[in-house]
Amino acid sequence: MIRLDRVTYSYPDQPMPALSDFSVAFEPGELVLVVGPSGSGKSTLLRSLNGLVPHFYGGRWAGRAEVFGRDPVKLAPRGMADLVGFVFQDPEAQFVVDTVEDELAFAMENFALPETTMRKRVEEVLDQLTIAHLRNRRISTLSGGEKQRVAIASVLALQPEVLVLDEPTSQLDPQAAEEVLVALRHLNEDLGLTIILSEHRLERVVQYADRVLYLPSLGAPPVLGSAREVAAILPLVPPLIDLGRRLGWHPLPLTIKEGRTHARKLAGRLAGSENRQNGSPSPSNGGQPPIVAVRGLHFGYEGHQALRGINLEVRPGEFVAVMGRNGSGKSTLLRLIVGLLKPQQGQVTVGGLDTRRADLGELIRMVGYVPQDPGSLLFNDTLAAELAFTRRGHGLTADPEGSSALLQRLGLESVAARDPRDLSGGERQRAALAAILVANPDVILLDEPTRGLDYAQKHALAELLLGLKREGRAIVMATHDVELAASCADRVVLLAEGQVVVDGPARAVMSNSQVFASQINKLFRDPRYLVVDDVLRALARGTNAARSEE
Amino acid sequence: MQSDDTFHPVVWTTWLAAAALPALTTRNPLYLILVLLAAAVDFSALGRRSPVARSWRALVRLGALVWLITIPFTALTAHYGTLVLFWLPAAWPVIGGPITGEALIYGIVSGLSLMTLLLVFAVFNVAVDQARLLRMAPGFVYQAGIVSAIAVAFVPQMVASWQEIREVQQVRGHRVRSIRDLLPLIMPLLVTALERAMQLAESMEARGFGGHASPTDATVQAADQLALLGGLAALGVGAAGSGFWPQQQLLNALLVGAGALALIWSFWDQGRRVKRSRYRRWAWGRSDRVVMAASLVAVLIWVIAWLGHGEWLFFYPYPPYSPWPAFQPVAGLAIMLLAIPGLLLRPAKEALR
Amino acid sequence: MTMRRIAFLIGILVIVTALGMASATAQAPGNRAGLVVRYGDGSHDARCVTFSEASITGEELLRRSGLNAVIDTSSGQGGVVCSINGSGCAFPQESCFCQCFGAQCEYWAYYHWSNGQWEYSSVGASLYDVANGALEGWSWGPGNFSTGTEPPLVSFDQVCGATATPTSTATATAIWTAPASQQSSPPDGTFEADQNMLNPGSCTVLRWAIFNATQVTLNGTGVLAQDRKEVCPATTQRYTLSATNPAGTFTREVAVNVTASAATPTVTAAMAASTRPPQPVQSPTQRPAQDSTPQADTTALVANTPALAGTASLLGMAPAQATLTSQATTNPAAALAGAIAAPDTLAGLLASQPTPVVIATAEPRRQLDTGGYPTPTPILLAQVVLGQQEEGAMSTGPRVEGSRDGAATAAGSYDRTFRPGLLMGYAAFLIMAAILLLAGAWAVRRRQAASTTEPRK
Repeated sequence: MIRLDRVTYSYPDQPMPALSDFSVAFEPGELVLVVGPSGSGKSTLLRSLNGLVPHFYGGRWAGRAEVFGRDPVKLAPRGMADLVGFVFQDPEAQFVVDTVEDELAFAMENFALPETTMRKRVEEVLDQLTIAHLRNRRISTLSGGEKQRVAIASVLALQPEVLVLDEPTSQLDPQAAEEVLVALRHLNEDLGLTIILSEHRLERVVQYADRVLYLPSLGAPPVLGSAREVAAILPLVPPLIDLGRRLGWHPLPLTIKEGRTHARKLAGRLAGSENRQNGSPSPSNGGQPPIVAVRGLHFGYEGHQALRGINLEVRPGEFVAVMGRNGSGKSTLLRLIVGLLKPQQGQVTVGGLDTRRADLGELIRMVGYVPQDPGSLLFNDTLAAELAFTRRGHGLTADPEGSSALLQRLGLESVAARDPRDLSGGERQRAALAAILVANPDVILLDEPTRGLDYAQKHALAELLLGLKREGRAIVMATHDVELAASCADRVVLLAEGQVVVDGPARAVMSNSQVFASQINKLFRDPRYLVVDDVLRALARGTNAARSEE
Repeated sequence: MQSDDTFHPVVWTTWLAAAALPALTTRNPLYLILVLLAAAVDFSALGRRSPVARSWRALVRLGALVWLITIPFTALTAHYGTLVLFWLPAAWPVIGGPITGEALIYGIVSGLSLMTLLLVFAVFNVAVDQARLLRMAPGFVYQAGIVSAIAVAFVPQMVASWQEIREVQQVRGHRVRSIRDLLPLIMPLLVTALERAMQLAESMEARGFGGHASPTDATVQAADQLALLGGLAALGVGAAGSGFWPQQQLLNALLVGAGALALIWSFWDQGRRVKRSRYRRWAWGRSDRVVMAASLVAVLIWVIAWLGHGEWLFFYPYPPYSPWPAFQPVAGLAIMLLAIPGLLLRPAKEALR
Repeated sequence: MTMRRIAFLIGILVIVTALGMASATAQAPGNRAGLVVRYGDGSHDARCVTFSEASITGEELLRRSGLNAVIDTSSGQGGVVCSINGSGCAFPQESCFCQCFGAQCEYWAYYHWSNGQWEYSSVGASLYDVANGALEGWSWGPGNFSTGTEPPLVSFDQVCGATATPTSTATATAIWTAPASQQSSPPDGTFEADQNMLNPGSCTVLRWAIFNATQVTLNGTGVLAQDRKEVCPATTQRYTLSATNPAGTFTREVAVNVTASAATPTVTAAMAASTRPPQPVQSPTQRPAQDSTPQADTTALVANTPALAGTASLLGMAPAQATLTSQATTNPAAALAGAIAAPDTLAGLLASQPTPVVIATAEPRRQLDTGGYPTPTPILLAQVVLGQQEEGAMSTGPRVEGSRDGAATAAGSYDRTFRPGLLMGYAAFLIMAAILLLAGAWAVRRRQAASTTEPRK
């Protein structure tokens, strides 16, 4: 039994309490999903279950917490470690030693368990998480998904009864996320572990949850109910649930399978509508010369051939989504386009300039590159200073009005005077974008911009990018996010093993793919329906047509 | 539980002591060169390229740089000796005067000893997984050891971050032209490192790092602290006394001895209460014993030479001593023993990739 | 990046070297050696001597220093230093060992600066080779065949600092005290009488210490620069001390009044005064303190010297550092016996109450000749008779390192040339290095053969 009783907690130096008169109770053996916008107190709640709040962070605590009979506030994390296992978001920063096996043993050593017990548990945990083949590997050589599984295994070694995970898949690509979630589900169903995890991407996990805890905002009362109940009231949901809500499907489908029955019924009504390609604005500028032209590009490093014979053209006003597995060369391609890397064979031309010969300063006037981690970009004291820095770096004069107009457009004018590193994840992403856009590049490159963003932030970003596209800028985005690509992209390029597998209109490519299909697409198996709007529009047309027929 | 192609960490630590002794006690270039060669033999047999060991290359480059700076520094500022190479006008401050061959030799040799020490440590770094070594650490330094191991493991991460940050800022138009231009690179690096460190600290805390502290009563704790402070005080007073009042030999010796004993007892008692178990048990193979014996013999020979036959190790090119180094074959043999690990290492399949 | 910086540093070094060589070719290379002289009263002098030869003898160094050194070369065994800058024994009027009586001797002891301390020279000045960068010391004080009074602790750089410019001729540059030929200021000093009021028939002592002078006269008679004189004026007397050098003159007057009602003279011993010149032995019982800072080991030696019965044992001692010339005077034996029978330790001297200055002298006070040579005082020269190198004579010298085959030459320095004896060691080194290289190659080959390439990560 996990219970929080009227807990009020505020971080040190924060006037507003993170948890205010918070009460919740979880049953043993259930899988609880904690959802809510960024900054609504999810992390605080999770950390209070094992005593990190308040022991690691300080602050003021009022109320009672109880986890299976133990008081985390009294016992501190050390006293709770063999009952509650905690896994964090960043797979890079959870490991103490370099070998998998030693890492698994680390927690047990701290508890002074006898050697035979330790050995037995290591074997068990390796099997439970199916990482036995990684036993002697160095952790730094593992992939993201493998690392997170090792992290889970290392806390599992103490045989806790509760597993708490704070956004464990937000830094992972979809395949790795899938691996982790499958493992969690297995732990919950077969071993009966109570699992409490917070996650932004509901579509991955909502179907497994016994209950969902929704924290609307800081200090607001939580909503706890079954997955369907809560999904009905969440403001932002995955496209499937969104469609289900809008069309009033009952019971609300949480998985594609559940939705298919409804979809089949709907398909009949949609069958009569026109067979027209609709949806995101189609690329209409086929006549213009490409602003980015990649021909016969080969690039490799340290014995590994990253790109083999890439051909790509991007026209102004085009939105290209580059997709592919980790290690397929997406980031390398972006770096080659911006001129950070020089092609070993072939040619990359940006705005008429050959990247091999042109000066980087000239290239970056045309190309803006937003990195995966906005933290590696931001360092100034205020956001406004950040923009001024970029302008200086490009040799442009300061343009305060233009900069403030840009901030307004990005919804950041209220935080212009704040330290950009203090901003939330989504705001940081937008701040990085602002810092790049202030130089008015014609080509914008984005590398995985949606990692760690919740739906609202993703939505805002998508709107922004579409606006930029309409201004005539070319956008190339490397992403795993299928939904984002479905809603924004004109073209999709699939990379695998350094080669282009598919290059075509988004609609066509994504509907033909099994892996990169959007939820709506998987639901209807129809290239016409990629996003919710497609369906609704078709429905409206169909209804009109039916009415007109009547 | 042997899964690696290397020896017991304690064996390697002994080897380190044996290899570092010549570098610390002599400036005779002949011995130092032999130590370098022996260390190279060991390194070529190890040949492992773990990510942590990769940073040793930077260390070696640093050592070479320091060496190259030492040579002209010594040669130009020490005007002493009979083999005058050329004269600088004596009116010049610091470097004016005769530039002597002895000073040049001394500069070369000083740098050589530093370089040797650095390389010996680099080989040790490659040979021993630090985490394994730390697990051998006694209780009271275990935590400090873990922390430093993590700090070292952070280095390659930070190097990768640095690369990325540099590229990203480059793309923003940033050029490094002066020291101030490094701020946009260093700030994100530091903050990223800090954030990672915070999360790692959380993760360690959540896994019970720090030992399962059994509640200790106040008196035991007070006794420990008192012993620690008292021991330090006694040690300090004894050391000061031996400097300022050398006549009270007995008193000084007593103070130092008592202080050391108090410190040792305090550490042992504290370590005893940190409950920890060990996962890994190193089996002592025959090769381990051979290398251990060889290293101990080398240490012994060298200590005897150092304390008893100082003239074997002595090299000081300035007058009235000779600029020609002498070579004592016995000391040379002791150094050759250091190459034994390299010959005995079994290059098994790289179990640790 | 690093390579570029290394190249930059090397470039700087090359430029500096080129500049140095360009300017250095204009000068002749010069060797420098330092010379420190400590007088009996504790004052000292230092010279930096430049010479163009590879090395010169210690005796030559002294000669070239500009300090007025009188050296007796009559014996076939090298030069004997009699006086330096007017301090010592007046040769040829008296022997250079005018202050030596058996075991106790005051003389000019010869030291070398080595390993951060003064090392008593085991060879004579005319046999010791002074090389570039050497620091030599001469010190007047009590001692015997193996020790003397150490010169003050200085370093080569203090004596021959960077400010000294090498010149092509052998010149001496004064550091502390301007030599007589290069003075820029008039002499200075003190002159006083122990008592200014005397009863008739009693005596008092005049003390003076003058620096920087080429000639010092007292009432017209030439005297030592630092000395004392006992006077027994019958009537009030004025004493005028006059010191001259090219830069000026220093004169001071002291009046000693003789009145009937003057207090009983009590002589203040002023044992610790630093203006004490070297004095001949005055009485069998008392030996005035000759210097304010005698060394502890010297006094210990003095205290431990066994009492000598007579001159026979005096002559029987064969000091390594001293050869005694025959004493012309008649009293030394008795005086010596008495002196040795009651050795005064320094501690005793310092702590003792002022003792009356001995008045009666067995021999008349010597007159100073106006040639500028002062009252001769006995000195002893460090000299070795070839072939008689005594081990015991070596005081705390450095361990004989670097010369495994005992190739220390008679000059006492280490053999800095390449000796064939080193070749054996070098051969052993090369063999061992070759073995190690082969072992390394074998290890590399074995590893390459056995292991597979690492997967790239």
